Amino acid sequence: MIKYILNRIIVSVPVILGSLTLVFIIIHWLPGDPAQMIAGDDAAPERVDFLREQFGLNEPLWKQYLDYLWNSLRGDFGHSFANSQPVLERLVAQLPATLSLAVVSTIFAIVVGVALGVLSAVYRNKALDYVVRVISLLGVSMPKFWLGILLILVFSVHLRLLPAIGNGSFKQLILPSFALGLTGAGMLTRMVRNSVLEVIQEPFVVTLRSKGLTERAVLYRHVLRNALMPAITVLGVLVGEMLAGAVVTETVFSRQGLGKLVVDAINQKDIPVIQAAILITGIFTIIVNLLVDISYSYVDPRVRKAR
Amino acid sequence: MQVNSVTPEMTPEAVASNPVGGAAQPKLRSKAGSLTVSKALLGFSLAVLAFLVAAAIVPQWIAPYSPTDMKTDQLLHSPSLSHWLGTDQFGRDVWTLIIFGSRQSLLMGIVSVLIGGLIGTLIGLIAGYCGGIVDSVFMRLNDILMTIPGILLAIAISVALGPSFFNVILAISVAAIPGKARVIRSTVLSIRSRPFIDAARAVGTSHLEIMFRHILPNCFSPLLVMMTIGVGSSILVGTGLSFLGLGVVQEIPDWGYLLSQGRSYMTVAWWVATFPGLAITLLVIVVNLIGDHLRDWMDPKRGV
Repeated sequence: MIKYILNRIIVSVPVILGSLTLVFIIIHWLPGDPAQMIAGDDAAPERVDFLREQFGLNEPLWKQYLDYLWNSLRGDFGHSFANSQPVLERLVAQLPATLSLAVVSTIFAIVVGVALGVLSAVYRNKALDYVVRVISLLGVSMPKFWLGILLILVFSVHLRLLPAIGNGSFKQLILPSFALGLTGAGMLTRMVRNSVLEVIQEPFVVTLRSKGLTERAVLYRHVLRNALMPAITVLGVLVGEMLAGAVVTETVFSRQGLGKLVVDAINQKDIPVIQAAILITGIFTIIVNLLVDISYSYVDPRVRKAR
Repeated sequence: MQVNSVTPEMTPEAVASNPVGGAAQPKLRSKAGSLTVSKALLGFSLAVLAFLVAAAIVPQWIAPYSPTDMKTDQLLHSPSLSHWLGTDQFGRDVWTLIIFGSRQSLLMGIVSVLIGGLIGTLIGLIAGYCGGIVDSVFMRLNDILMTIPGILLAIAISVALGPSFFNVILAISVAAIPGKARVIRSTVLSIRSRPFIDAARAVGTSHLEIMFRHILPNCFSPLLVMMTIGVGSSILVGTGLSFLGLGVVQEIPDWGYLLSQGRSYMTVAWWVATFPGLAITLLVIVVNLIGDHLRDWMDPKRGV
């Protein structure tokens, strides 16, 4: 088991290095001069040169790359182009709002998604199944920011039940988590439903039924255990989706999180901030995937033995 | 259990020729209701899609007004008989703007899925067929691409490339690659081990020919399903980009941009943000429904 965990950790190191490299390539190799972008199209050439010098953009590319790699690994993401603050400081200040939103949304998505998926499969082709399928279809099809706007309109503007904007209290988390979590819940519901329906068809279920187990016992003790396995594997993807989705959802609810940072950075062409925000999200996703892999092998011994 | 025993007959032809079950296949009868519902949904989806495609091609024939027609005396008017979905902050007709905006939203979804699907398919095909070190290298690269969630990848690329309609499409395309490559690779792996591939190799068919003439056609159904559903998620990423202000501000705005503009007026004029969002949702729902239907149709094991 320990060997397996170590193996997984070693394998994810090149992936982290790879995603660092990918972000570097996107930002630096693609056409478009960062210094020109910051200065604006009609800036004086002297100013562009000055900026290029200041941000070390005149160095040879390989040196920039090594510096960037080394600094990122130490957690030094450079200074913001816009206000020269260390990027890390700003990230750390904004991260809690995003993380709390992502965590609450993920929990919401898992609880609602698994419950609805199982219900939908058990009551297949009954009224309940149709209702759940409509909800999950809406969940995966609605833009999160639009759902957020509708929620604000209904619950904050008209009913005056919940606060629309800001972060701090739990009440302010409810609407954004619902807007964000519904997408994940829809995704998970569809998956769990399919997976339960597939497991129900397997021969071992017939055996269990024929030996006289109640339908309830078959479902809870045997079918769900097997059906929820694949759901664990999408957990990593789900967390990534929720983190990335938080960027958009936060804007709607004016939360002071990573999303706000990214949107401001987009408007100011503040590349170090965008770069760092993407890296942080990517690294979080890799770590969650690693944890998912490890816990998966813990729950399902077949995975461990296969390697 | 019943489903399993029925599946062999559930070929597309059987479903099409005998849509309500009937006496010949009594086991299908319990599904009669859901089959009709799903047919009705498919019909509805195709009708909506056809309407939106028509709106994308000839918006001027469908829209009641011109999208640049600003009536300064009718700012933010609520929905009425003359303006079905109301007017926006410039006095433009919202229904007209939605009709005209469908071209960009559809193009965004379809073109980026085509580009992303093409590259993803090539990667999956080469990785799956060659195996070994080529496979490992391609799949690790794919893993790296997958670590950065789609919308963030698209944000990074469109920031780096600068605002243009094509750059936005390119950004969404890249985000669409890894998922496609993965599925195609696993399909290729299962096809590669079939006897007819050995047979083709035995008679001296070249590797390229086996890849493109024997394996690729067999990947068609998962690819089609994935690309259909991919149109939906690409549209969501694209409208997300324009909502965040990364899209291109054009004379005729796309749905995401309309929505982000309408947001500022939502307390006084709910219709300006609500209807463009409804249009996005409807388009994505319709595309997802068609994709689900295609999948059920091509993979009878899944049933309804």
